[in-house]
Amino acid sequence: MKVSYNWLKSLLDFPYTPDELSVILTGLGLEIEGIEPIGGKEVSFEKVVTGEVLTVRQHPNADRLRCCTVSVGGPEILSIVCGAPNVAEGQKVGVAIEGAILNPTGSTEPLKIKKGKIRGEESQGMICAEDELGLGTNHDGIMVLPADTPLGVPLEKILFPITDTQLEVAITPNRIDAASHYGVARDISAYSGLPLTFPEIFPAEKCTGNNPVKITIADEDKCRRYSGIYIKGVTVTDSPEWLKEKLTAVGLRPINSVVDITNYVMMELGQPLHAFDADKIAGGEIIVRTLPETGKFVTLDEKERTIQAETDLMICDRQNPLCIAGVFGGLHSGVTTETRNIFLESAYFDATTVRKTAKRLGINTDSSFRFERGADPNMTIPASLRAVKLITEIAGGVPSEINEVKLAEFPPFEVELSIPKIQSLIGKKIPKAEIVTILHRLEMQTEEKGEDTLMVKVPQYRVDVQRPQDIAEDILRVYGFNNVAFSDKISFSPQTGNRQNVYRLSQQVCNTLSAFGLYEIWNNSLTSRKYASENAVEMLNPLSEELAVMRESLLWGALEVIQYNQNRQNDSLALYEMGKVYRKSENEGGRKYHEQELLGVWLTGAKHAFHWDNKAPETTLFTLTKVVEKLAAALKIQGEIRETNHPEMDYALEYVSKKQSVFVWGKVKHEAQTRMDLRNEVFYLVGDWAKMVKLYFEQTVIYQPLSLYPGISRDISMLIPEKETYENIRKAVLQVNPLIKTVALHDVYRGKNIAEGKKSYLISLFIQDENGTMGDSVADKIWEKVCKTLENRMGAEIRKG
Amino acid sequence: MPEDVVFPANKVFFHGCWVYPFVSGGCEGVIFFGKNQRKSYLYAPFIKLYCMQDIIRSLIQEITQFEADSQSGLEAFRARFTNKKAVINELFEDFRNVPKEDKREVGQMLNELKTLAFEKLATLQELIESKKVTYTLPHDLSLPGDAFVQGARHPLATVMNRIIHIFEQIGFEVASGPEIEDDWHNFSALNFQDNHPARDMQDTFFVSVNPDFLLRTHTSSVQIRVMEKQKPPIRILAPGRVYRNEAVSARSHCFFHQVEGLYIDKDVSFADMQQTLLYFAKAMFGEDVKIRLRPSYFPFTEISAEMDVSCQICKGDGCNVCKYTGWLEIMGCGMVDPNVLENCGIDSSVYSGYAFGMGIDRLAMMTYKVPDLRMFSQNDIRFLKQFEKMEL
Repeated sequence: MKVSYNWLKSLLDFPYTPDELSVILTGLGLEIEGIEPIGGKEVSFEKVVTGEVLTVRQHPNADRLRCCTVSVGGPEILSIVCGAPNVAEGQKVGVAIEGAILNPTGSTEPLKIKKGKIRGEESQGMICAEDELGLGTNHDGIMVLPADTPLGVPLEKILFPITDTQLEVAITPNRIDAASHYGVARDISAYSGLPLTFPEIFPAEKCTGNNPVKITIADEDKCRRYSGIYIKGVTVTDSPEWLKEKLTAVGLRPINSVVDITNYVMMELGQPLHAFDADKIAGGEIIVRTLPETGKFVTLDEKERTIQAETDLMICDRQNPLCIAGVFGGLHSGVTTETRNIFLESAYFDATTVRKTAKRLGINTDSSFRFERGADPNMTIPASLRAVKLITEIAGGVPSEINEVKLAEFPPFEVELSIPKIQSLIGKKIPKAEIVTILHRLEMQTEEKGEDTLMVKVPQYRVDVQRPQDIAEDILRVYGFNNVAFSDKISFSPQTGNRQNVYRLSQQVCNTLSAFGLYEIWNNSLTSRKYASENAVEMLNPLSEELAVMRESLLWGALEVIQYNQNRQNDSLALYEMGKVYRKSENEGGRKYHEQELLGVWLTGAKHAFHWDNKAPETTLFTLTKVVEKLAAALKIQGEIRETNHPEMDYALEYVSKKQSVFVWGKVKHEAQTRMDLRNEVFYLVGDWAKMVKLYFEQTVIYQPLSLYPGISRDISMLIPEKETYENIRKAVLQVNPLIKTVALHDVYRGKNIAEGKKSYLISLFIQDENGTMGDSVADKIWEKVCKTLENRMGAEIRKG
Repeated sequence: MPEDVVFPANKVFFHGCWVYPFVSGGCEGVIFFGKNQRKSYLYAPFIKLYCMQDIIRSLIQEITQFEADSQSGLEAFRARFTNKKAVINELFEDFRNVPKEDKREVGQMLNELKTLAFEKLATLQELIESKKVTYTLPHDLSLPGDAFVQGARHPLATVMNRIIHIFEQIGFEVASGPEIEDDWHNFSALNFQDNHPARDMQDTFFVSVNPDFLLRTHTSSVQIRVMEKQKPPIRILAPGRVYRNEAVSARSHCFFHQVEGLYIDKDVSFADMQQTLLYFAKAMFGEDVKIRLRPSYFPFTEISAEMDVSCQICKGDGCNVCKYTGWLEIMGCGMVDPNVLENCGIDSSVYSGYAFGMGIDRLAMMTYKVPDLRMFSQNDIRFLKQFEKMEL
């Protein structure tokens, strides 16, 4: 909401500058989001100041020129040769002094002012005409300023003075009481203790004319008060300048005097008013009601709106709806310059009704803004009398008696306030006397009820203040949030619950992955419908098709990232994301939503950047295998690697621990790669976070004794069928004898000199006995047994010797 | 004694005396240490006679000036001075020939000489050891470093972690909740009344109506999840992803991240909250940071506030980052509304508490001066690589 500094000041004479006021209001909970000077102009005439022509004499060498002496406020008197016919002694003028750069109208070249001689007479500047300043085309003579213009002031400050300051106030939903100048001034008064004056109103007792418009409220729940004053014989014209200025200052467009006054009063007192052309009210009756049937209604902006039956509250006459109550006026019943008699509405509409209607119709007016947050029911009559006062002054006319339907009284809210409780909630012993003073300044009445308790009467306009906590906030914002001293200590009761710090574990996993050389990415969980399955969680009100569903897999976001980077010449990437995927399921019990936290890893392109010492190797499945092994070791998850299938992968492996598949990794399907237009194969790992967490917390580290005896290494070189896997070999070897501690693959060879359908593996065993020194003969025996097992089980040909 | 006098290692026995031949100034000569003679005398009449003291002084000088940077130099030193047959041992043997009245002086000098020689030997050994070359020097030390992958955390993760770490130090524990929430946990239980304009403050993505399910608009929903399950004292922190149905721009996104804090206990006051938040601000932004609380509005807190911190760029003088206010808004906070406590079955006449919540993305933008919020989810590797520095 925009408020005018001058306007506020007319209600409460405070000594603060706009900047100071801004700090004060922000501290009171009315945050100032912007300060704009009104008037002024984005022009600056550098070195053009106001001056006074002291003497004028004829130029000795030129008929059309005069030699002037000019004061620009300083001790120095300037000699200036001037060609303007209208220059005269005593004039206040704009003087461009040496160094000024002007942009004359119609000229592309800037005009530089220098000292010099014009036909032999010294000239130290220029007395300016409008066109020379670029302000117009007038070159009839110099621009003469008002006689009271001070000297030596930059000219733009005289031509375009700052007349007012506009403050942009953020009104939080609980502070609708401050959605007016009077409301803001009330807070300033509470802060400063300065007295606030209510604007002048038309005396109610002088409203005596006949009121020909009858009022009926048909939907009593939706409107608790409705009043109207008939003003006979108005002349609707443009508003006077002062009124236009005030409305412009708060961002409203002047329309005509009566409409402007209703807006003015709303901005002044917060009560939305509506003026009808009384002659257009058919049947002389206003009926406040919902419509029995859904129908169309054309609003003031000439748009046709659908009004819902029995929902939207309308102001109707005997025949037609005239206005959407509290939201927007109708096209045909408004006040125009033709209007002679008006009916001035001032009502209290139900907040929820107004809100629902405004929201459904997508209309947000100054009026609906106030009603839906809760207007002041006791302001209806004072506000209309304020408007009557202004209308009769500006547009003339005679006011009728007030017709009012008052379905409810709105007494103040009563709240019992325990002073010690307030003090304990705030954490500072604000003295009772100070609390009482603050409450009184906030127009709350207090009544002592024993030593420590106050009965507080809260005015109706504070719709959100109904409990002691609410009052505590009010006390504190006037007392000053920052005047509560900080306690010296942080004291708290420790929680004893969550000893499994899953968050910390997730961070350790991420740190580990980053240390492996992977970059963490965070992708949007909202994704395109094109990736969605029938189980996807869809937005009912999506921003766009591209952000219409929740992701069901981490893959697509990552592939988009790879594509994005590839298009920027970075196609070797090592990325991971720890994030949720979402899906819905439907069964008899209804729809359910599932969220699963996953770890995704993606490797593509070269394993590392090109290096002079080593050609950059391509990433393979085995790069990911190592990531899995390292991660499993870091989480102490023991398991085995198996081949598996995954819908997003052409070939895949899984890491199984305690019969649960913890990690699945493989090559991203070729179709997906092509679909995303990716140059390189992408290797992709999915880890099930919940399983990782469970397995991690099941394991503890217990010291294992270190062997005191040396072990022996033995190599086996063999030819095996192509279809055999290393994993099978490894498992078979380890089963032969518990003294075999490790198996390692040292070389793999396929191709030349190897029989078709075979490959050559060189493995190495490490054999060790914890209980004694291993003899060569024992090692040899084990080695032979391993060879035999490999020959028998997988048809290995062992190369001996 | 002339500087160029060099005493050779060899002496000869001659006429019942040890005779040291020497060369000086191009002349050869010998020195006698005669039996029972106070001083050695000169055999060659044209050369000055030297006593043992002179010989020792000469040797001290020789040792001091000795230089060797190789094993052979070291051997030469040993041969001349410290070996069994070297000159120092010879002098010790000759000591008995030194006249009685000189013995004390010469003995002392001899010991000093010996110490000096062995010290020098050790020094030389050390020097040579240190110069021993056991490697081959790369032909070009300026070659690029080995290809070794770096990796980095995401800047949002880093900022979130830092915040969590700070609060964990004062007893907050991490809690979590679902992102697809029901109306109760996201709105109603948090005292957002039906059809209250407060609901307009947060544009919501709905995934179902009747029953209403939506993407949580704030992590405050976790407050409710925790309070429903746990009895006070409750001291939790809820980091997580939230969603708003807002047009995507440089300053706002349809998804972003928050950290929410909640403390419920007996006698928790606004002043307690202020102290906690001041601690956080100092840990996060530095000891000299100032905080400012302003009244604000959230349905789930009564005494609601926004917290500003003094702008760390201009130190409060005003700059374009803080829009010339000297303050940056970083979080909303307040005393938990009694209705919220009651909604979760916590007796609001016994317990009170505070809650606070802050946006991670904006904080990260501020911290790293990132101009566009969208960069955090673009995941441009050039951007990610800027955050390789590990943060605490």
